[in-house]
Parts: sequence; structure tokens; C-alpha cells
Amino acid sequence: MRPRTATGWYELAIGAALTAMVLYAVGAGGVPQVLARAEDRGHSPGWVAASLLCFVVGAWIAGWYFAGPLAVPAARLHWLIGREHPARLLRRAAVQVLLVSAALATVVAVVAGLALASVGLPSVVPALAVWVALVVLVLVTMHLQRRDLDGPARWTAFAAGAAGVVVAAGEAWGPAGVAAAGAIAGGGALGSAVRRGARSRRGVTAELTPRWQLQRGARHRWAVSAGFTLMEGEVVRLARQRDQKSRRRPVPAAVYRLPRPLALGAVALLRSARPVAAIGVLAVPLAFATYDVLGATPAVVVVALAQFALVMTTARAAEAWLATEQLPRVWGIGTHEAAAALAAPCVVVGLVLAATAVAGFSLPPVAGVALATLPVAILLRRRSARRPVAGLTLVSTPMGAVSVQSLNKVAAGPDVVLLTILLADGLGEK
Amino acid sequence: MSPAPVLSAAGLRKTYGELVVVDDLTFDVPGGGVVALVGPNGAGKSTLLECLAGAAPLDAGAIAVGGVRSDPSSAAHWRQVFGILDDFTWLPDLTVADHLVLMSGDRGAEAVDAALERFGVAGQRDRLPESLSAGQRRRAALAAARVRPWRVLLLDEPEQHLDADGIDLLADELVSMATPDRCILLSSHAAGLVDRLGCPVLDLTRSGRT
Repeated sequence: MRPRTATGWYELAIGAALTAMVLYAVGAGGVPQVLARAEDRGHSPGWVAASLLCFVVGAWIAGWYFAGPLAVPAARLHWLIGREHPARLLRRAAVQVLLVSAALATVVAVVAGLALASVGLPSVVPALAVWVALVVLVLVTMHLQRRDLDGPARWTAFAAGAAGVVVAAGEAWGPAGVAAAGAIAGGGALGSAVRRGARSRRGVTAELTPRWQLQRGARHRWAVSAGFTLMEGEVVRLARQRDQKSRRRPVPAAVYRLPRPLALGAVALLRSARPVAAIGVLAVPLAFATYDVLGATPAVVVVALAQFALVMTTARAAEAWLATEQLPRVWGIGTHEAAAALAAPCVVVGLVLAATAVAGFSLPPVAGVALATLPVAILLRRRSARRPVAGLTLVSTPMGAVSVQSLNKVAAGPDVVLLTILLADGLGEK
Repeated sequence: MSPAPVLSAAGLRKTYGELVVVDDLTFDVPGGGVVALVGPNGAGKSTLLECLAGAAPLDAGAIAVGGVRSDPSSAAHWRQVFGILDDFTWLPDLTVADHLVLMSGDRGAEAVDAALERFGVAGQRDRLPESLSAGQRRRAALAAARVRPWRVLLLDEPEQHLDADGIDLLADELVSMATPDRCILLSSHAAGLVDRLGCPVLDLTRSGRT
């Protein structure tokens, strides 16, 4: 990961400078605006800041979960494993991660301090508290992961997000809001924790413990392609096989009595019901609390982001299915019917959220239509970006040559979300 | 009087650039019949099955199912022709039973359970196909052929990954599935399976020409 050439260092410096500029803009401009807006509407900027901080913490944990706190590049391990014990290598990697996380936590804490100071709130002590909390969270995540307690490590991010929702609901509707949001988010989390606890992964994955990274990499293809993990074919195969060996509950028989394309859509929806419920539990109360505290535009942003998260969750399987040309032949249905059936869950979820937004935020129906079509738009955009194209187009940037196709793949989805937010907000103002 | 053909192919031609894989091939498969495609690697067996299933376009020729001309790229054709070919893919997130029930139309979960039982994979009904061994997946695919409605069944080397018992079971099942209104066309390198089926053989050795 370390740059080895002057150009590499230059690219790193440019990247760091750009990131610092964005973070400064967020800390000195974006967040203070949000807090000031809440204050104008008669709400406490302190509680709003606390709620935002919970989401930052959630993103922080999820980010480390994504990157993985313990990583030694495979190539390095290959050369070093004969001389050093893997545990020692991992310990050294852990120290490096702690140093990096401390540096990043400093950036986040400074941004938080800037934001608080700009609205006249105490900034030094909260910023220090933020720094300590973030570093402690990294330590806790690492500890949980080393002990094979993968589930709790992942659910900590959800818990932080849920805490943010509860705080926002409390600010919007008082104790009743806290009780309602707490009951919804807490109930869901508790149920899941109890169910997960009953079939804990601990012990099942014991033989992989020192190399937790491998297991995480095996589960998440993006982590593998990001090259953060120590990859080893056999362990990857083992971990994937274990994940897949778990049995699934059968889909209710009534679903199969629907006409075939509908049944296919219903099964796809039911199979992704759990993540859909988890995102919905957080997003719907948060959108309403945001509407109450900050107004319609931020609430529309929350709804659109929730739709994006839901589509990405439900569409992952659908995208894999649609890439299979054989699917319509096996089911004996038309190509377009198969695509429509698999997109149905996204459309249903999009319609529900759009209807909720229109009814709850008094948006005009046209804005509702924009939100309702968002899931389909994301799906179509992602499909078009994934279509193979001949050749490779590179553009020159201050950070070096970048593939247009890669950029297109990364932007496909978020760009449509941004467009919809602008559209829905613009239409909502009229 | 011989039974009417369920699958008729006339003047089939398939090329990959300069390479002629199938050249002016005409054949009929009668109702209740099983026909085995044989020939060395590269003779065009899999390509022919892909063309008949609609997975690859033909350069020339016509296909009829039940005496009616059928467009291999249409959903109507796919409803009548079921192929377990090289590209047979299982879908992520769906269990073996989910796949089969969705394919089975009105036949329902009982028929699926019976088919899985018949092919010895009833214990895997709630597992994801990716977690099965290749042989178990092959058995589950063959069980799909029992529950999915079809008139023409295309099988590309169905004996692959099967143990000796599995091949015996396959032979028995193929005979029982070929009812008078249906037919089966399979490619195979297993002389034992073809002998056991005692079915007519379509030798593609001379079909391909460069």
C-alpha cells in the first residue's frame, strides 16, 4: 500500500489534500448549516450533532469492517511466513492499523470540533471524546474479530446507526419518539442478536481464527478485489462453503401458486426480506425525524439514500441472475419477463418508500413519481455500466490515469440518486 | 406405424467464423424416443444442443416441436424445450427446492419433494446449490427435469459427475420420462449409458467440417 515512487507520493499527497478540503468543507460549512437550520426550527443543535455523530460512528465501524483491521498483503505474507509466525505478522499489522485509525480519528475529531465551534457549542472536550471513542471502537472491533465474534462486530455499526435514529427521534418528538424508535430499532436488533447468539459462529470458524481476514475476504468479494486481505484459495473455499451450508427456511408455499414471473419476484423479495427490514427500521423513522427537525429536503435525501441501500441489497442477487442468459430458458419465460420479475422487489420497496415520503412530507405527486422510479433507474443504470465495452479509455487526472469504464461503474447508481434528490427537491419546492 | 416426431430439425447449419461445426443436419426424434448424439470432442454435439435450446443462434435451418415450426429464441420455444447444458446455472439465494418449485409450474412442492427423493438429494432440498457437490448438483438438475413441464429434453453429457448408481438411475429415469408426447436428445461419451438405453444414435463425427 505504501507508495514506492515519487509519483506515488505525489498522488497520495493530492488525494490527501482533496480529502482534507472536502472534510474541511463538511466541518466548517455543511454540518454547521445543518445545526443552524435545526436551531432555526426550534431544535437543539447539540442533540442533532449527537445524532449525526452516531451515524459517523456507525460509518466508522462499517468502514473498518469493510477494510478489515488486520491485514497483511498476501505477497508479503508469502515471503515472510517462513521466517515469522503469522500471529506476529498480524500483531504488527494491528499496530499499523491502530496508528492509521488514530490519524483518521484525529481528522474526524477535528471536523466535529470545527462544526461544533462554528455554532457556538463547546468543541474541545467533545472532539477529544470523539477521538477516544473512535479509537476504542477500532480496538473493540479488532478484539471481537480476533475472537471470531464476527456478528457482534458487524452489528455494532447497526447499533450506532440505531442510536442515531433514537436520538433524532427524541429530538423530533420527545420521550415518545425515543420510546417508539428505541422499541422498533432495539426490538429488531435484539431479535436478531438472540437468533444469531443461538447459532454463534464461535468455534465453527475456530480453525480460521488467526487468519480472520481470509474469512472476511472470502465472504465479501469486494474486499478480495480490493486486495486488503490475505487470500488463500483453500481457506476461501472453506469459508464460502461454510457460509452456504446453512439451511434456509422454505419460502411459504402460497408464493409458488402465483403466476410464474410474479412468483419469481416474490421469492426474490422474501429472500432479501431481512436486510430490507433492517434498513427500513432505521430509514423510515429517521426520514420522519429528519423532516421534523430539518425539513423536507434532508428528509428526501434520507429516503433516496435508503432506497439506494435497499436496491443495492436486493439487486445484488438480481444482477447476478440477470447476467445469466440461461435463466429465461430454464424458467421458460421471456427475457424481459425475467428481468421485470427480478426487479419487482426493488420496485415494490421503492413504491412503498415513495408513497411514505409523499404522504409524510407533503411532497407533490410528481416528486413522489421521481422517488418511485429511482430503484428502476438505479438498476438500469448499473446494468448499462456493467455491459462490457471494447477497449479501455483512460483520462489523465492530477492523481494519474483513471479508467473511464471503472469510474462509470463506481458512479453508476449514486449519480442517479443525486439526480433524483435534485429533481424531487426541485419539484417539491414548486 | 412409427410415432410422429416431436422434434424435427431440417438443414441445420452452425459456424464459428471459418469453422463449420454443424453442416446441413436433418433429423427427427419421435415421441417417446431417446436419441443419443455421439462423436469425438469438437464434433459439435454441445453446439447442436445449444442451438436447439436457443442458447446459440443457428446460421440456417428450421426446428419444429410437435410438428409446429418453433423459433429457438422465443419464450414459447423455451417453455417446450428444456435444456440441461453446460451453462446450466443455479441462482444465488435460492435453495434447491426454491429452484425446482419455481420451475415446476402447477405441480407443486409435493412433486418437487418426490423428484428430489427419486434422485437421492431430498436431504439437500433447503441447501443452496453452490454448497452441494458437483454430483449432487447434477442430480438436482435432473430432478428439475422431472418436475418442469417440457416436450423436448436436451441433456449435454448428463452422466458427468454421477457415480455408477447415479448413471443407472439416470438411464431408468430417461426411459420413464420419455412419454409418447415427449422426446429426449442427449449427448454422451459414456458408451455404457448409450448401450443401456438402447436408443438410436446420431453420430456427428462427419457433420463438422473445416
